[in-house]
Amino acid sequence: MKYTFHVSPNLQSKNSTQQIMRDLTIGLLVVFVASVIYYSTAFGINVGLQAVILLACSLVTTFVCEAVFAKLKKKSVKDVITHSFGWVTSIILVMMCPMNITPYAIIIATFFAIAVGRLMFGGFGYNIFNPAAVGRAVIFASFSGATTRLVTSATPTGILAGSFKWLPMTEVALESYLDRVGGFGSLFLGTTPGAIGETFSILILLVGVFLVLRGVIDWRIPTFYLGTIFVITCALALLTGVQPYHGIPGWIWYPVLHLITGGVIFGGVFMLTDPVTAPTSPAGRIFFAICAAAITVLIRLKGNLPEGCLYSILIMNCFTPMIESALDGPQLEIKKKAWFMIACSAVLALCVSFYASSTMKGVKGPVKKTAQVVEVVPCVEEVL
Amino acid sequence: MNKSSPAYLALFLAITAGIAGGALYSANALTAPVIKANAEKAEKASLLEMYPDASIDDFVVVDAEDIIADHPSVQGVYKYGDDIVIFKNAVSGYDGGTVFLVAINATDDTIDSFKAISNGDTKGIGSKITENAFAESLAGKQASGELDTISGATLTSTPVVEAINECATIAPTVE
Amino acid sequence: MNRMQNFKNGLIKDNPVFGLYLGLCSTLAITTSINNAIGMGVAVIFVLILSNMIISAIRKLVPDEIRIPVYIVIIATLVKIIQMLIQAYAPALDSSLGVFIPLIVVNCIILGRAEAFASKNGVLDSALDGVGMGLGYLLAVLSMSVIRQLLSTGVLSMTNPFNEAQVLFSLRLIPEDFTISMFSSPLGAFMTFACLAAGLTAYKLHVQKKEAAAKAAANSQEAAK
Repeated sequence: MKYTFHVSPNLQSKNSTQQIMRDLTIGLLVVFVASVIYYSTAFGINVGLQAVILLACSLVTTFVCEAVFAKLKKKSVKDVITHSFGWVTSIILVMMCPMNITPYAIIIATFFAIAVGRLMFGGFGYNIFNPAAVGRAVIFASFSGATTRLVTSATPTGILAGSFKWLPMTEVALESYLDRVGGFGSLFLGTTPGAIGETFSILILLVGVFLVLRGVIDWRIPTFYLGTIFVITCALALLTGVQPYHGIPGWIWYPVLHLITGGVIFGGVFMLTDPVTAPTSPAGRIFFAICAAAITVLIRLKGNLPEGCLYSILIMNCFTPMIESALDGPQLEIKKKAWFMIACSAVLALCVSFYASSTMKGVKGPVKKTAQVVEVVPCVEEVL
Repeated sequence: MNKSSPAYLALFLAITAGIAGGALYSANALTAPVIKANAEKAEKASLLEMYPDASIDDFVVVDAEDIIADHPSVQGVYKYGDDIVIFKNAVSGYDGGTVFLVAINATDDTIDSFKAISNGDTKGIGSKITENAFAESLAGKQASGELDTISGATLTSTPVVEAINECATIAPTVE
Repeated sequence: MNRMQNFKNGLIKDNPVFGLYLGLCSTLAITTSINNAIGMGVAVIFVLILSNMIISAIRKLVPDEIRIPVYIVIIATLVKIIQMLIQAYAPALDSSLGVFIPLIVVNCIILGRAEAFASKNGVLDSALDGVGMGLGYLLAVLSMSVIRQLLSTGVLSMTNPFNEAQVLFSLRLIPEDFTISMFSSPLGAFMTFACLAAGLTAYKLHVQKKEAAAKAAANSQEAAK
């Protein structure tokens, strides 16, 4: 949202918007290509190509929407397209969706992401909500049942949420979970079904480090987001008495399990850091990240949805203008206020873990696959 | 009488309310019997869908106030023939939940028939409970035994299966 | 002519839903199908006309201090009567409109028009105003329903409200696989409403600009003479 921030002291960054977006695009494409390679080798080249087709559909829709917008605003089409960076939204949106999504669903979702999520608010820089998250929410609301059945197996997030209620407490329970998804290794390397771009945790972290070093994204947001999730789930593990696994204590492997399952690393690196929809002040960003982490964990553990990252991003985007106006002003003078806000958010995050630990019952025994009545329904609803 | 005095205002309001009440009374007298007949027809219509060959008088509505008090998911109980007790249940699910009819044979505890009337969950996933595959999988099984849920739609199908188990315990007590 | 102007305003320019933003709650909730829209629209027109006429007829009798309670009693009675009629003769409509029939009592359009117009004008004028506003509401909910039903189910269909089994027409315009089901949820309701309200505002601005240009042209002609 276009909020004019009157801060001092000022320090101008060496990067231009074009440069930042170019680096971001490269980082995204690296993850995307790695994912296409995985799907091609694991399921066949036609499945890998499906990802490329989805991306192509999304890009075409983006450019068409922006061209129409340019014509309506009587600006040059080329100008609008190159300064709108719509392709970043497209790539992120495609990476958030599972491989089974139909091209029609991607087209409609991209249309809503670009036209409603960004252009209706005035174009690049004026939007309140992360456009890719808007598009993904549209798919979640309308197209959960629309699949092409290319990849038919349950996702790790789905299994963890459905069969284990996010709390496998004993070694036996964890073993039965890891057996079904292929072990910690495959969770780290992304060789599991899931959203197209979110499973390869290690690569996304590396790309994140690269982007931070280049000055493209602020290190605070991913660090505090993932760190807070770690702390909350660590507290949860300690409070509910999660048992060690092969010697690794429960309060280490359980938070790591939370981090590598689902889309939190992807969300923390690429989506929360969107400069338009995140606060500008450093303290604001820390507050933003901690609150988003609290909401993510709360939705995951207590909500009906298996994954909470998407809605936590959208909810915190609503609060960005409020955070901006609260921290507007000479930065050195409002330091106390900033620290107070961050402390409040930390307390909120800890409250989430206390609340969750008191109301959750863990799964102690091994859990087998539930009986299947109808043909296996690809768990589309469960990704982000 | 002073037009602004409380007495006049109160009187005016009372007369207005009286006239309104009279109009409502006559409208009610006109429509109440029709509404009652509609409600009965609607209740029995879904029963006919389960047993299309039966006639509407084969079903007997059972006074189920006690049952509903003890088992809140049960909405209605009907008897069909000598053995079959039909339960209408409403359970919660992922989003809207499911309303369904299950016919249990009270003598040998088998499920005679199942019909989902409505489902408010995700189209294509939870809504699979309304499809034939699920109903066919239940027919003939033991109503108090282990019944299959729908993989991928456990939040929708588990409450349904649990409610059927619950009805199996009530069925023998219905006379 | 003032009467006709009032009537026409209620339809488009001062459309109660998209122009005056009244009665939004029911609009957003029930516009999932054409049946609902027409049923609700007819109910609102009925209540509007009768309440406007009755309130206008007794406007000289009602003491100023208690006019609001009196209006509410009258409107509530009319709504209850129509609810009973719908329950008796169109039960399908009753189950799909549900709680929004009794909520017509607090629909801002009705009390708003009673306060703003019927309590100050004659019976015939008030009746016409009721028809105009009611038709405007019907137009608004019908347009929203058409869009939402088309996008979320792919068919434009309508069944006889008095006989649920009889389908009056059913056109499939979008294949089943290409429907966007979010339009039957509140998410789609808000989006459709926003687009239509924006459309009406754009039209009104366009008309305003044209009138201003015409006035300026007329003025400059006068000055030139």
